[in-house]
Amino acid sequence: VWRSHCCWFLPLFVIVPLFVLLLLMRFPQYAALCILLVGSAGAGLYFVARKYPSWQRLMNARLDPVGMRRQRLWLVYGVMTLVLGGSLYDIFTDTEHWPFSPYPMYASVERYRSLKVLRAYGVTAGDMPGEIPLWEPHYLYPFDNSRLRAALTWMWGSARRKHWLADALEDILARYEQLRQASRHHGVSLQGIRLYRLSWRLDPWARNADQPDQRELLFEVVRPVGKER
Amino acid sequence: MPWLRRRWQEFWFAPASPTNLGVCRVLFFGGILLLYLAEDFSAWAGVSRVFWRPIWLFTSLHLPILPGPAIIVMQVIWKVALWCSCIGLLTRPSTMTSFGLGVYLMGLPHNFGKTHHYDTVVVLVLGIMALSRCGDGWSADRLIRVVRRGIDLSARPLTLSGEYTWPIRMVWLVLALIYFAAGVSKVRHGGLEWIVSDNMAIMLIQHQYHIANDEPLTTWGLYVAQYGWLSQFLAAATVVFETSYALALFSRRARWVIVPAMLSVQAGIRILMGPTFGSFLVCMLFWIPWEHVGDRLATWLSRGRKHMLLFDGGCGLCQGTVAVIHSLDLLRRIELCDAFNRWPEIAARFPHLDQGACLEDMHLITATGQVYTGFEAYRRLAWILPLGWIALPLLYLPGVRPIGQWVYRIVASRRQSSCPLPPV
Repeated sequence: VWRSHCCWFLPLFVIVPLFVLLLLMRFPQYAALCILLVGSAGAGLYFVARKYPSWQRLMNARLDPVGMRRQRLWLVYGVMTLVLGGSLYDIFTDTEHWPFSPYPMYASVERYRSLKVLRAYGVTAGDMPGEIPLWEPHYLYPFDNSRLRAALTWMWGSARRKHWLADALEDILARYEQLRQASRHHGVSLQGIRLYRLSWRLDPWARNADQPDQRELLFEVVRPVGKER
Repeated sequence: MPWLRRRWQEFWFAPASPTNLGVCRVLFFGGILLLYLAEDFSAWAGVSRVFWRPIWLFTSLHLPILPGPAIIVMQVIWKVALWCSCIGLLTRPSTMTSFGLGVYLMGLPHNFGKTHHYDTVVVLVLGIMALSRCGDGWSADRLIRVVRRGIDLSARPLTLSGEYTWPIRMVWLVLALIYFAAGVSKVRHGGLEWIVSDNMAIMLIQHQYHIANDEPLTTWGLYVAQYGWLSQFLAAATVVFETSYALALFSRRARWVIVPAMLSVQAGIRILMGPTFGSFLVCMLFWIPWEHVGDRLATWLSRGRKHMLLFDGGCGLCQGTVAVIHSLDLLRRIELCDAFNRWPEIAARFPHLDQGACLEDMHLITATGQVYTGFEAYRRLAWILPLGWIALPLLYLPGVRPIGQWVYRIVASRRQSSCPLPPV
């Protein structure tokens, strides 16, 4: 079994011990349980493979001059059903089950020549604090502009927004400073983050992209002077 | 019904050589590795849990956010697995590892606020490749098999199987479903208004206000937005090509129009609006019939003339080496000739050659008639074999030539003792 089907087992032999090792490092109290579970799983797989070689043919897929084996055909049809079923279900129900999706990006109609977005601004440290917009990805890593905006918009719309936004903005500030100190970006030192709702009337040539018509302060987290890093 | 069944079988399981799937594997895994090489997924472990909104996959499987060091280990293994899948080393385990770890790593960011859609296709294609026999062609695994088995120039049957067809068709199907879904979403949420209103013009302007993940490459979107008819034309073309993408599955003619058109749409989104869909572009490489492209390129490059490689067919070591060279000769520019068993033929074509010398050293006779022997023959081969181009700079470094000649001489002189076949 090992000789002819080692390719099937190899990932298990590589990945499973690695995960077990990580689990043991993190939760040493469950060491015995982990070893027992993995041992039984390995032994179970081995005996299943010995008793039912046809199961192995699913993965082994020896080339057959006449055509594909029945087990492989079933596997292909299984994959096809999964791909088709998952995709069509999400398309018709308009629901999201990553990696399947109805792909709704850009699907809504923009009717007005205006734009409203939430955006975080950094409050610079020093005697004369200023503000810098935080939309460039290297300030926000691992977030990107669009993901962070979606997360902040969702928090602002929730009942627990005060608690959540305080944590979120504190997190953005801490990570900005970590990245700055690690020279991942060359932004100025910040002592706080403010969340604004920005509104524009769209200019046909986007000349006002950096000067919104309205800025409404929604929330802020500012560390006391002297506590900024 | 028999007609339909035949068409169905032809579409999914028409016998094909492993070349096309092998090239697709190299390009797909190589492309994905390049796209994700600089990505550090472990950064998500440090993000506040207040952002955590698990997607259904993580909820259903109770997948947690692993600690940063664990994610670092996972992503290193994942990237190594992608590389191994690309070169086709331990292909089955490496493609399965790429898929297994890829699902977790690529899914992780979507639990923080928003589900993006640029990597869904990658996950599905990784799964398909993990179940396919994509390592049978253009792979290190195949080279290893060739070295072990040697080469039999008299009979090399070409292995054709439906196993090499269905994975490519499945990737086509995945792409068709994705674009179809995107088109249906636009029709469902916007209807005709999505096309005939100012919608596209407004979106093009909005994306100059720093709202996307990436900034648009140009400000051309603003120029397009000035012309209502042009924006509406772009919107109409997008919806038409998205919803009709599935036609490319069945019609060769439609394929020539729809696939390049969607490629242009993706490029247009990057140029005019900002978001990048690099992984989609990588997956579109599955549409190209690489085998035909390679054949045409080989025909054009060789133009009927081939280089000839003379080797000692009575030596197992030489046979192994020649088998590797034969496998690497992707453009089919080298004609292999056994100087031990086919000497009369060779002597008739090249009377100035000596059999003893040909059996002693490997001889390469170029299309123009120049003769290279030993290490010089290998250096010349590096010009001829596409993969050899990578080694070319190394082979011309100062001092490499005398070292190469010295190594070649040592191996050649000990050939009789190391050769697995009995001495002639």
